[in-house]
Amino acid sequence: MQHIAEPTVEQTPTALAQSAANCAYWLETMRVQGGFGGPVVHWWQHALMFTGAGIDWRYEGIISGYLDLYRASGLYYYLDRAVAAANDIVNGQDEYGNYANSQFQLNPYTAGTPHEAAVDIALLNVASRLKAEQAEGWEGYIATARRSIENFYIRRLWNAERRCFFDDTRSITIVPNKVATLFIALARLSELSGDSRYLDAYGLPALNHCLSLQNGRDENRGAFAQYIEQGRPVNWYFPYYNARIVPALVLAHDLTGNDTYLAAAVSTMQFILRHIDADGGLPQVVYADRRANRYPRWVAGAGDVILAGLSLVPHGFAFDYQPTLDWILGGQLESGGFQTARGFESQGSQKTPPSLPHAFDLLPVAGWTDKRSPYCAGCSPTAPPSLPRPPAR
Amino acid sequence: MAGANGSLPALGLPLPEYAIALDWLAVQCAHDTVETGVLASDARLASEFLRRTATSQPFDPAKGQGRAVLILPSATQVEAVIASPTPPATLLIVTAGALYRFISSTPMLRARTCLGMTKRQGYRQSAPILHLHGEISVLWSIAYRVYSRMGRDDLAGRSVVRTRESYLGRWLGTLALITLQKDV
Repeated sequence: MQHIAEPTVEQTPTALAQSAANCAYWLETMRVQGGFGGPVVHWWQHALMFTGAGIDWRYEGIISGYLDLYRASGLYYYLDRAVAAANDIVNGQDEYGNYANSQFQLNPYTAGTPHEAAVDIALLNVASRLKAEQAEGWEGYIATARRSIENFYIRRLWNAERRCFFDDTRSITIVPNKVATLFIALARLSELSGDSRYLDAYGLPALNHCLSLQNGRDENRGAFAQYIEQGRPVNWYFPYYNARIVPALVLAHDLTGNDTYLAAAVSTMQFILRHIDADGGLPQVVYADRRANRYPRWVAGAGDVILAGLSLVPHGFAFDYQPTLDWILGGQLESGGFQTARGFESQGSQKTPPSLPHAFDLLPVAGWTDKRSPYCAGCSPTAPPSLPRPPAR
Repeated sequence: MAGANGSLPALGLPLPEYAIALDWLAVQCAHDTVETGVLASDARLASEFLRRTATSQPFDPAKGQGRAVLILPSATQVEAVIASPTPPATLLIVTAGALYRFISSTPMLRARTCLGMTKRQGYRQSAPILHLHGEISVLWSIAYRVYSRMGRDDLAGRSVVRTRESYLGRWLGTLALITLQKDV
């Protein structure tokens, strides 16, 4: 896709727009051969040995961020960046439909969940945008996403008896937040391909299965357990991962008109809000017996909490995103990237972190920094009025 | 992708005095162009470095001021920083991955030369690392057994991760620093 002329923009961007553009520039410096690379730090494990391109959930936020910036600015530069990122995905797909290095903190391995579904969402978002722009080539991105969903998710992870997607081919574990991400991909694929089977035969039954396991009784009511192992919920409640479920439930409501989904989404969001600290951050995980592991608290990743709350606003849900937005913006580094978290020093303990950050706190990760993208355009009631001009190409 | 003046993309912001580089390409890049540098074997050592170097410039996360370091997770960013008019006085190169890949994929002579910068910088962390080698891993493995018996699978899982990290990072770091002691 070639664009030459770019519209003139004002040079007085808002702080929010400047922040978003700086972050977009930083992401470009993370490009290596094959896509966006760099090390990963995470709650479960770190990927410091492998720093090559990872076709994982980083692409969901990176591409939606570029598309947000494009919508806000009208600059084709950002649309071109989104298309370039989508081409990374296409080039990174293997003959089985899986993507290269899609395991994020476990890289370099393929067949990562929910990463490959998140990558599919990214592709479908680009296809949708290009279709709206009447540009050529959008069908190819749908074909790539369809190959991933058909060959990997439906053929290997779908369990017809449970009518749900498992997280492994032995049908042992179901992870609700991963099913939610996959649901969004299936819904988008149905919409763009015109084949309702993806939504009706797979997406909604899988989401319904998870919905039946939503906590409805104790102080963690509204939350989804991190995973269900051999039919039993493992009651670790990660507010962050619960935030990733909310937009899927809202989308299910919007597509079906079934208020059960909306009520479930509200309940989950209320669980998240009960745990948001005054500074806008979230504890890492809370347990059924009221214990919690507070640290590290995600900084860039908190963008998904804003995205969750904003998805409910059109349905009359009051959500003040400002504390969380301030929490995220306070973590932007001079380079334009975002610090990943606060409190890695205290991981596993509940001690107050020292004033000096752990190195992992300050390490910006492409697959976390992308999560702040919802604020690019979504947070402001009106889109940012102007953006700084991107670098000359 | 360097900006017009060679600095990082967020143009106009002063670069910090210290920077941390990740990725072995960044190591090579820094090795060739920066006079002083520090090679750390893992993030814990990097954090210790932060504490020591930041004492004259305390970091205040509430105000977002006094940030003493900038972590550079890609070779592109390191190149941009080095090309800037005011490059950092010191580059801290960190992670077991960077160390492992650097030593295993380049001639040892270069690794030793790069490590030699550590000593010129006067950064003496070898003794604590040698002393702690293995002990932390053993303690984490004991913690794993205790937590498993208590039924605290969450903490047990973390302990396994910490055990593995301790083994890898300390072992490789120790080997590298032994080499340094003999060679520089």
